[in-house]
Amino acid sequence: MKLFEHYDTSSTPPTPVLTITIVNPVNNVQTKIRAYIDTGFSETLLLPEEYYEKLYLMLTEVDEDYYAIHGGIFPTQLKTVIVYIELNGFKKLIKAYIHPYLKKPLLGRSILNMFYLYLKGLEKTVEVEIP
Amino acid sequence: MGKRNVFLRNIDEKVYLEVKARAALLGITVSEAVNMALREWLKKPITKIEVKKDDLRDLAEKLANKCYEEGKRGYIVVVSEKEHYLCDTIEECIDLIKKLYSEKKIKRSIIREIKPKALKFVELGGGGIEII
Repeated sequence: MKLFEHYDTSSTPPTPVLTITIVNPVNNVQTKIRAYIDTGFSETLLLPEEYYEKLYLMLTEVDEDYYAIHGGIFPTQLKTVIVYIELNGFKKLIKAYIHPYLKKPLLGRSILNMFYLYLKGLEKTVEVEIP
Repeated sequence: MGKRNVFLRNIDEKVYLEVKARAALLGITVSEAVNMALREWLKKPITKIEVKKDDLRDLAEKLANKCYEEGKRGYIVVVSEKEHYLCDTIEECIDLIKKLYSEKKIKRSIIREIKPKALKFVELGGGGIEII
Protein backbone atom coordinates (compact mmCIF):
# COMPACT_ATOMS: atom_id res chain seq x y z
CA MET A 1 0.00 0.00 0.00
CA LYS A 2 1.42 3.36 -1.04
CA LEU A 3 0.60 6.84 0.12
CA PHE A 4 1.88 10.26 -0.79
CA GLU A 5 2.26 13.40 1.26
CA HIS A 6 3.46 16.90 0.40
CA TYR A 7 6.41 18.44 2.22
CA ASP A 8 5.72 21.13 4.79
CA THR A 9 6.51 24.25 2.77
CA SER A 10 6.06 26.61 5.73
CA SER A 11 9.64 25.78 6.72
CA THR A 12 12.69 26.82 4.71
CA PRO A 13 13.83 24.68 3.01
CA PRO A 14 10.63 22.56 2.87
CA THR A 15 10.59 19.53 5.20
CA PRO A 16 9.26 16.00 4.58
CA VAL A 17 6.36 15.18 6.90
CA LEU A 18 4.00 12.30 7.54
CA THR A 19 0.49 12.62 8.91
CA ILE A 20 -0.11 9.97 11.54
CA THR A 21 -2.80 9.36 14.14
CA ILE A 22 -1.79 9.01 17.77
CA VAL A 23 -4.20 7.19 20.06
CA ASN A 24 -4.22 6.90 23.83
CA PRO A 25 -4.67 3.11 24.24
CA VAL A 26 -6.55 3.51 27.53
CA ASN A 27 -9.33 5.98 26.68
CA ASN A 28 -9.03 6.04 22.87
CA VAL A 29 -8.60 9.83 22.77
CA GLN A 30 -6.82 10.50 19.50
CA THR A 31 -5.44 13.19 17.28
CA LYS A 32 -3.85 13.53 13.86
CA ILE A 33 -0.40 15.08 13.71
CA ARG A 34 1.98 16.08 10.94
CA ALA A 35 5.29 14.71 12.17
CA TYR A 36 8.63 15.78 10.72
CA ILE A 37 10.63 12.90 9.27
CA ASP A 38 13.89 12.95 11.22
CA THR A 39 16.32 10.18 10.30
CA GLY A 40 18.78 11.63 12.82
CA PHE A 41 16.37 10.79 15.67
CA SER A 42 17.11 7.28 16.94
CA GLU A 43 13.81 6.59 18.71
CA THR A 44 10.14 6.35 17.69
CA LEU A 45 8.17 9.55 18.14
CA LEU A 46 8.98 12.76 19.97
CA LEU A 47 5.98 14.88 20.90
CA PRO A 48 5.63 18.44 22.19
CA GLU A 49 4.42 18.74 25.80
CA GLU A 50 0.89 19.89 24.76
CA TYR A 51 0.02 16.31 23.68
CA TYR A 52 0.63 14.99 27.20
CA GLU A 53 -2.44 16.91 28.45
CA LYS A 54 -4.44 16.79 25.23
CA LEU A 55 -4.33 12.98 24.96
CA TYR A 56 -4.33 12.31 28.75
CA LEU A 57 -0.99 10.53 28.43
CA MET A 58 -0.47 10.67 32.21
CA LEU A 59 -2.52 7.45 32.08
CA THR A 60 0.17 5.56 30.18
CA GLU A 61 3.36 7.09 31.57
CA VAL A 62 6.40 4.83 31.90
CA ASP A 63 8.99 5.42 34.61
CA GLU A 64 12.23 5.75 32.65
CA ASP A 65 15.19 8.15 32.78
CA TYR A 66 15.39 9.40 29.19
CA TYR A 67 17.27 12.54 28.18
CA ALA A 68 17.69 14.38 24.90
CA ILE A 69 21.01 16.10 24.40
CA HIS A 70 20.88 19.16 22.18
CA GLY A 71 24.03 20.17 20.38
CA GLY A 72 25.99 17.83 22.66
CA ILE A 73 25.53 20.26 25.53
CA PHE A 74 22.01 20.86 26.79
CA PRO A 75 20.30 17.85 28.51
CA THR A 76 16.49 17.77 28.68
CA GLN A 77 14.50 15.14 30.55
CA LEU A 78 11.79 13.43 28.52
CA LYS A 79 8.63 11.66 29.66
CA THR A 80 8.01 8.21 28.21
CA VAL A 81 4.41 7.30 27.36
CA ILE A 82 2.66 4.43 25.57
CA VAL A 83 0.56 5.28 22.51
CA TYR A 84 -0.78 3.64 19.38
CA ILE A 85 0.36 5.15 16.13
CA GLU A 86 -1.76 4.62 13.04
CA LEU A 87 -0.87 5.23 9.44
CA ASN A 88 -3.14 4.06 6.67
CA GLY A 89 -4.02 0.67 8.20
CA PHE A 90 -0.70 0.27 9.99
CA LYS A 91 -1.20 0.28 13.78
CA LYS A 92 1.42 -0.27 16.45
CA LEU A 93 1.71 0.13 20.21
CA ILE A 94 4.88 2.11 20.86
CA LYS A 95 6.81 4.01 23.49
CA ALA A 96 6.77 7.69 22.54
CA TYR A 97 8.58 10.57 24.24
CA ILE A 98 7.34 13.96 25.44
CA HIS A 99 9.76 16.86 25.15
CA PRO A 100 9.07 20.01 27.21
CA TYR A 101 10.49 22.49 24.67
CA LEU A 102 9.77 20.78 21.37
CA LYS A 103 7.70 22.74 18.83
CA LYS A 104 7.02 20.09 16.18
CA PRO A 105 6.53 16.30 16.45
CA LEU A 106 9.44 14.23 15.13
CA LEU A 107 9.22 10.73 13.67
CA GLY A 108 12.44 8.79 14.23
CA ARG A 109 14.24 5.79 12.77
CA SER A 110 12.61 3.20 15.06
CA ILE A 111 9.35 3.85 13.17
CA LEU A 112 10.69 4.98 9.77
CA ASN A 113 12.67 1.75 9.41
CA MET A 114 9.39 -0.19 9.26
CA PHE A 115 8.45 1.38 5.91
CA TYR A 116 9.83 2.05 2.46
CA LEU A 117 10.26 5.78 2.33
CA TYR A 118 11.07 7.78 -0.80
CA LEU A 119 11.89 11.46 -0.50
CA LYS A 120 11.05 13.05 -3.85
CA GLY A 121 12.79 16.32 -3.09
CA LEU A 122 12.24 17.92 -6.48
CA GLU A 123 8.51 17.22 -6.32
CA LYS A 124 8.38 18.07 -2.57
CA THR A 125 6.55 14.80 -1.98
CA VAL A 126 7.10 11.85 0.36
CA GLU A 127 6.09 8.42 -0.87
CA VAL A 128 5.49 5.79 1.79
CA GLU A 129 5.04 2.12 1.16
CA ILE A 130 3.79 0.01 4.03
CA PRO A 131 4.84 -3.62 3.47
CA MET B 1 38.20 38.53 32.71
CA GLY B 2 41.56 38.45 34.50
CA LYS B 3 44.24 35.82 34.08
CA ARG B 4 45.60 33.64 36.82
CA ASN B 5 48.80 31.62 37.05
CA VAL B 6 48.23 27.98 37.97
CA PHE B 7 50.90 25.34 38.53
CA LEU B 8 49.69 21.80 37.75
CA ARG B 9 51.30 18.54 38.91
CA ASN B 10 51.05 15.08 37.34
CA ILE B 11 50.13 16.13 33.80
CA ASP B 12 50.49 13.16 31.46
CA GLU B 13 53.84 13.64 29.69
CA LYS B 14 52.63 12.23 26.35
CA VAL B 15 49.49 14.39 26.38
CA TYR B 16 51.53 17.48 27.29
CA LEU B 17 54.00 16.91 24.43
CA GLU B 18 51.18 16.46 21.93
CA VAL B 19 49.41 19.59 23.18
CA LYS B 20 52.70 21.51 22.92
CA ALA B 21 53.27 20.26 19.36
CA ARG B 22 49.72 21.05 18.23
CA ALA B 23 49.77 24.46 19.90
CA ALA B 24 53.01 25.25 18.03
CA LEU B 25 51.40 24.18 14.76
CA LEU B 26 48.44 26.52 15.44
CA GLY B 27 50.73 29.32 16.57
CA ILE B 28 49.22 29.51 20.06
CA THR B 29 50.71 28.98 23.52
CA VAL B 30 50.10 25.86 25.61
CA SER B 31 48.18 28.05 28.09
CA GLU B 32 45.83 29.20 25.32
CA ALA B 33 45.30 25.56 24.25
CA VAL B 34 44.55 24.55 27.87
CA ASN B 35 42.06 27.44 28.21
CA MET B 36 40.30 26.33 25.01
CA ALA B 37 40.15 22.70 26.19
CA LEU B 38 38.79 23.70 29.62
CA ARG B 39 36.09 25.91 28.07
CA GLU B 40 34.95 22.99 25.89
CA TRP B 41 34.97 20.64 28.90
CA LEU B 42 32.78 23.05 30.90
CA LYS B 43 30.15 22.97 28.13
CA LYS B 44 29.59 19.22 28.56
CA PRO B 45 26.56 18.19 30.60
CA ILE B 46 27.11 17.10 34.18
CA THR B 47 26.03 13.52 34.83
CA LYS B 48 23.76 14.33 37.76
CA ILE B 49 20.63 16.03 36.56
CA GLU B 50 18.09 17.52 38.98
CA VAL B 51 14.65 15.99 38.51
CA LYS B 52 11.29 17.17 39.86
CA LYS B 53 9.95 15.11 42.78
CA ASP B 54 7.18 12.71 41.83
CA ASP B 55 5.67 10.51 44.57
CA LEU B 56 4.16 7.95 42.20
CA ARG B 57 7.47 7.56 40.35
CA ASP B 58 9.35 7.29 43.66
CA LEU B 59 6.98 4.54 44.76
CA ALA B 60 7.36 2.73 41.41
CA GLU B 61 11.14 2.90 41.83
CA LYS B 62 10.99 1.42 45.35
CA LEU B 63 8.59 -1.34 44.34
CA ALA B 64 10.58 -2.22 41.23
CA ASN B 65 13.81 -2.49 43.23
CA LYS B 66 12.08 -4.67 45.85
CA CYS B 67 10.55 -6.97 43.22
CA TYR B 68 13.88 -7.19 41.38
CA GLU B 69 15.66 -8.28 44.57
CA GLU B 70 12.95 -10.91 45.09
CA GLY B 71 13.67 -12.27 41.61
CA LYS B 72 10.42 -11.05 40.03
CA ARG B 73 10.42 -9.78 36.45
CA GLY B 74 7.91 -7.98 34.23
CA TYR B 75 6.19 -4.65 34.96
CA ILE B 76 4.61 -2.83 37.88
CA VAL B 77 1.64 -0.54 37.38
CA VAL B 78 1.24 2.05 40.15
CA VAL B 79 -2.07 3.93 40.20
CA SER B 80 -1.98 5.34 43.74
CA GLU B 81 0.09 5.17 46.91
CA LYS B 82 -1.85 2.11 48.04
CA GLU B 83 -2.63 0.44 44.75
CA HIS B 84 -0.20 -1.33 42.44
CA TYR B 85 -0.24 -4.40 40.20
CA LEU B 86 2.22 -6.80 38.56
CA CYS B 87 2.02 -7.56 34.84
CA ASP B 88 4.11 -9.62 32.41
CA THR B 89 4.01 -7.38 29.35
CA ILE B 90 3.36 -3.76 28.37
CA GLU B 91 0.19 -4.89 26.55
CA GLU B 92 -1.05 -6.49 29.77
CA CYS B 93 -0.30 -3.22 31.63
CA ILE B 94 -2.37 -1.26 29.10
CA ASP B 95 -5.31 -3.71 29.35
CA LEU B 96 -5.21 -3.42 33.14
CA ILE B 97 -5.09 0.40 33.10
CA LYS B 98 -7.95 0.42 30.60
CA LYS B 99 -10.02 -1.73 32.97
CA LEU B 100 -9.16 0.43 36.00
CA TYR B 101 -9.90 3.59 34.02
CA SER B 102 -13.35 2.36 33.01
CA GLU B 103 -14.19 1.14 36.53
CA LYS B 104 -12.66 3.78 38.76
CA LYS B 105 -11.77 6.64 36.46
CA ILE B 106 -8.16 6.69 37.58
CA LYS B 107 -6.43 9.90 36.58
CA ARG B 108 -2.83 8.74 36.36
CA SER B 109 -0.68 5.65 36.34
CA ILE B 110 3.00 4.81 36.17
CA ILE B 111 4.31 1.75 34.38
CA ARG B 112 7.72 0.57 35.53
CA GLU B 113 9.73 -2.34 34.21
CA ILE B 114 11.20 -4.50 36.98
CA LYS B 115 14.90 -3.99 36.36
CA PRO B 116 17.57 -1.56 37.51
CA LYS B 117 16.99 1.89 36.05
CA ALA B 118 19.55 3.15 33.56
CA LEU B 119 20.12 6.69 32.31
CA LYS B 120 19.39 6.71 28.56
CA PHE B 121 20.11 9.39 26.01
CA VAL B 122 18.13 9.94 22.85
CA GLU B 123 20.07 10.81 19.71
CA LEU B 124 18.52 13.87 18.04
CA GLY B 125 19.56 14.72 14.55
CA GLY B 126 18.81 18.39 14.42
CA GLY B 127 20.68 19.42 17.56
CA GLY B 128 18.77 22.44 18.83
CA ILE B 129 16.93 23.23 15.59
CA GLU B 130 13.79 21.25 16.42
CA ILE B 131 13.07 23.20 19.61
CA ILE B 132 13.24 26.66 18.03
